[in-house]
Amino acid sequence: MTSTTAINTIYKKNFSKMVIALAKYTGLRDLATAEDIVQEAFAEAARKWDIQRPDNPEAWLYRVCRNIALNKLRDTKKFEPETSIDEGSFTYQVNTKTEDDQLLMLLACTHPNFSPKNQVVFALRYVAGFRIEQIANILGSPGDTITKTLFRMRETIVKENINFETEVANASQAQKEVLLKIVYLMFSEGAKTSGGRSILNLELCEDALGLGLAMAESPGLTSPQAHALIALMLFNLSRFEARFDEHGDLVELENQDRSKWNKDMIRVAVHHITRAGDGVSSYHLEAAIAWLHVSAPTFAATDWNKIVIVYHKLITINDSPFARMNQAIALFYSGNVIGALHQLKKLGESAFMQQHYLFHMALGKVDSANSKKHFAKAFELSPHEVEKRYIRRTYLE
Amino acid sequence: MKRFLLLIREDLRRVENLTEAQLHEEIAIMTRWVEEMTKTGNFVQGDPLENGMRMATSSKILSDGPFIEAKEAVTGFTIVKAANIDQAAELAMGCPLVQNGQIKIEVRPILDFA
Repeated sequence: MTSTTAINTIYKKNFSKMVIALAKYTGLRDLATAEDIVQEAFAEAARKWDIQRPDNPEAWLYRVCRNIALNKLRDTKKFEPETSIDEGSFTYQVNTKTEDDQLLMLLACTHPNFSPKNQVVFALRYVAGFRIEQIANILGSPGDTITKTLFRMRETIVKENINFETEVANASQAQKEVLLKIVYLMFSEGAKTSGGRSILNLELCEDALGLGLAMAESPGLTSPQAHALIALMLFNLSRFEARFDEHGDLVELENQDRSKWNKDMIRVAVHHITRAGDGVSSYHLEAAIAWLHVSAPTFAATDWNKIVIVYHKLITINDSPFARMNQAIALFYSGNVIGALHQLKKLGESAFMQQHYLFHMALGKVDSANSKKHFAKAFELSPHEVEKRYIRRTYLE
Repeated sequence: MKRFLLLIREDLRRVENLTEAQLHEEIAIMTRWVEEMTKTGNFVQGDPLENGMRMATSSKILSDGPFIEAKEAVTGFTIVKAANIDQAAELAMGCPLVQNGQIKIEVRPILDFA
């Protein structure tokens, strides 16, 4: 391993832990200072490790962080005067459970002044430890936008006096719901296929799953919804590898090699579904839809009627044009072509759907008399290379 | 969750001078922004507006006048659900065309009698 790869691995694993550990001393309002200190420590590692790699890199980084922090304390008095960074609690401990710290950080960004998108950006940076350019890559936004979003959020933290809760169990019901949603949105960003097969995406999904599991195991945060969300994530992860062929081209559900689906993950997911009980949160319903897909022996044998019904419940509690679109597709496969067409036609009244390539993909399947025209439109509107290539190869050649 | 009206305001002369390609690019950007808000469960509805305006007044319907000459006008609207007006404003800030200064978005709380 070169020192750059070593540093990158350690960075991903420890950046957020170190920032959170420091920010707990300084208060969240000095998050920027905490971040600067950790960045400085990693910069020093990059300079020194080429010459000599320490035996215990993590411990080395924690020590350097602590020293930089103490110097800053003397220089700028940024830290509270009575604060001293006690060596015992700020050292690297291999087996420390840090999930609680990560959940505390996540909890801090459930403040209602942040939009869900901001919360995801914040979580990617300060909980999952992705670098700015990686976040830009995952979200498909310019790095500059990510930097500005984080800057605005740190300003809000100061203005609104947001700080860590003393323990996760203090989370309100509303905060727990936002926590689940952040984890769900993080996972969705990781699970999208539009960027092609990417190691970043897989890492992100695993981070989201880890946070979901930590929530479910935390007595103060656990809920049936948390288990339903874990099941939903695992069902999706079980199909992760089968979504691309050996050339990195997309493979739709219909043509996926079902023997490649990860049976162990499906088994664990079913266990969590059982623990989730029969609640009716959108996580329960989405997990139920995912289960109906993974438990079907073939695409044709899928219980489309049941999927239509579950989508109906999902639309009742959490309406969205994409849920309606997916329900229309399920209607089509269940044999109700007229119903499917009717539903898509109604969705097509919105300018947004008319401009969205997935809507035209759905029309291409359902409106078979004009499918070529719809797929051509989908091709024109899709902003993603991998999908454009898929549409052209599958439907236009 | 409360509902908010986002009024998209922009310089009409700028819109007129957009090339076909630029227009498509901007539509794609707006579509992605709405897609994001849909996935996060904030988007309720919204559409762009065409050119053309009449003003109904007590004496007659006006089809010209200072408001028609205005440099800036509402070119679209969106209704979103948000926890508070600051969150609604953050949703508006999430639009790349706001970030690069091409449009402005006025955020107004919708009065809720319930």
